[in-house]
Amino acid sequence: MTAARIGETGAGTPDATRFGARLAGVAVAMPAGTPLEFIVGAAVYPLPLAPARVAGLMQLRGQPLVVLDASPTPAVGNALCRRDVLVVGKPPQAAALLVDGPPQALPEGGWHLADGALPDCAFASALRSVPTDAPAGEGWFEVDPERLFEALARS
Amino acid sequence: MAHRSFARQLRLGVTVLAAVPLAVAAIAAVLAWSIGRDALDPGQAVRIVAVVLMLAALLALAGFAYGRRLARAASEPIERIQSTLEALADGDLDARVRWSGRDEFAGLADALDRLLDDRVASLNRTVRDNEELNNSVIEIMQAVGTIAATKDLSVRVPVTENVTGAIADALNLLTEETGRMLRNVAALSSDVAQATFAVRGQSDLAIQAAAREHREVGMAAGELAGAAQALVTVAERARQANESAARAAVETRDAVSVVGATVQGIVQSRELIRETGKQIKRLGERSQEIGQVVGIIQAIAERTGILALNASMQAASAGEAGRSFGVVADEVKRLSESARESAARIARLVNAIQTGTHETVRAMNEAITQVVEISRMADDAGQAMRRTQHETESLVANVREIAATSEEQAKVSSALQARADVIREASAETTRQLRAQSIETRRLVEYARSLVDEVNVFKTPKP
Repeated sequence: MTAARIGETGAGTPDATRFGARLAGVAVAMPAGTPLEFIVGAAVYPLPLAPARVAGLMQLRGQPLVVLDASPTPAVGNALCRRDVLVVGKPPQAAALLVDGPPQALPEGGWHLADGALPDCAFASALRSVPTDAPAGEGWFEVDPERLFEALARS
Repeated sequence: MAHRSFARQLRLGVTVLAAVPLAVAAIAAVLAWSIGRDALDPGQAVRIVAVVLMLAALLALAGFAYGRRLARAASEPIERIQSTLEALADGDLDARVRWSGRDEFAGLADALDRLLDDRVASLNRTVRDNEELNNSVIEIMQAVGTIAATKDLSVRVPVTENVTGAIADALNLLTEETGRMLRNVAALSSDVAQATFAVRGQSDLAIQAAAREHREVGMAAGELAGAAQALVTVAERARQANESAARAAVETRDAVSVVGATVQGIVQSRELIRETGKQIKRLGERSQEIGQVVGIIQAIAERTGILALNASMQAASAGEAGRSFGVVADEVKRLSESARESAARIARLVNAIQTGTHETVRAMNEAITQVVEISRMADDAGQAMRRTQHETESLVANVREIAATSEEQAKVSSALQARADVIREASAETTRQLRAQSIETRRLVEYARSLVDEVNVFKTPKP
């Protein structure tokens, strides 16, 4: 179990419109309607000869799930490891993403899009930001899960 | 040398003189024999006898003449020898026989002349030797006279090659050895003078020391009298000290008992503190267990939070149908936050308890250490008190002996006072003897100086 701090997490309120998470250091906000599930210390089984973005396989209530690694330099390993993952979608069409920590609910008015250029990452094409004049504080890049999976599969 | 021997001539003459009668006798015998055999008539015999007699007479004359010649040949050299000897006897050392010839007298004269030449030459050498000897003796006498007059032993007697050379050598050796001896005597005399002077100084110091000793002995005698009185006082003080020491022994025994009880109490306190420390340590261990339980609670709160998060995400994906489920999820989230906050507060309290427990345990350990140190000091104090008790008892015994001894010392002091009077008299006698010795020493100094002066009169050769 990771030492996730509860203060940085938060159950979604009925007003939550986004759920934010960190993929490869990039703060992304996903739509609240997307089926999501955060699993702490999920057992990830490496998959031999798999693409670099595929960190391995995991199982969620008996359903196998592909675990994707969005980091610039995906780790290559042959041993089982336990990682925090965010399951996106409903099995069997769901997939798991390696995240840097538990997601948090982003209530309406409690967050804002990041401004300026998109970050240099493998899934930059799936991100959206505002051109300028964003409020102070950390901004979030809005991401579409389907485009995210497509971008990772193409990278 | 071929010469005519006088002895041979003499033997020839005697032989001729002896042959004449023998020849006459022989002729007479022949004639008598011839006459007896009638071979010869008496007339012939008479003629023959006459011829023989005449021949005998002729031989006798010839023999006389030869004898006179021999006598003259013998008498002349003898007379020359006699006259030469008479001249020698008269002091003419140049007189010689100087007889030339071919007979024994000439050899005798020549031998006598050579003998005289040798003897005269020897006599002349003896005379020269005697003159040289006389000169050497005179030089020796002059040198000895110089030495005797000037006392200068560096003067040397001339050494000659004659018999006086050994005497001169002996005299030189004698003066040299005498000079060396006199140098030694001078050095020794100087040393004796210095030593004597030092002895005189030491004697003066000894006199001063003896005088001081005499004064000190007198003062000691007076002080001994005071000491005898003081010893009486000391005996009284010792008796009082004995009583005080006895009381001190009793007090010390009581103090030892108190210290023993104190030590026992400290030991009990140490055990109590140690037991308390164990209890507090166990309390710390219990609080650590609480900390572990708090960790479990925090883990449950975390899982509950995650569960609430997932529930809220599921509620959001359910849309309007999951709104009530989202409310429940929010409540669960609040509950998990409350549990997390409570667990964190408990964890802080447990940490504070553990910190306090550790501080308490450390303080208890320090207290135990201090109690152990105090216990050790108390033990040391108890041992010191017991030693003090033992020493006090020894002190009581010693003071008792001192009291008894002091009385004896008072008696002994009186005897010492009398002995001191004797010593004072002996010291005075010593002073008198030392003064007499000083006088003799001063005389000895004068003698040594006189000896140095006498020896310094001689001029000794440089070493």
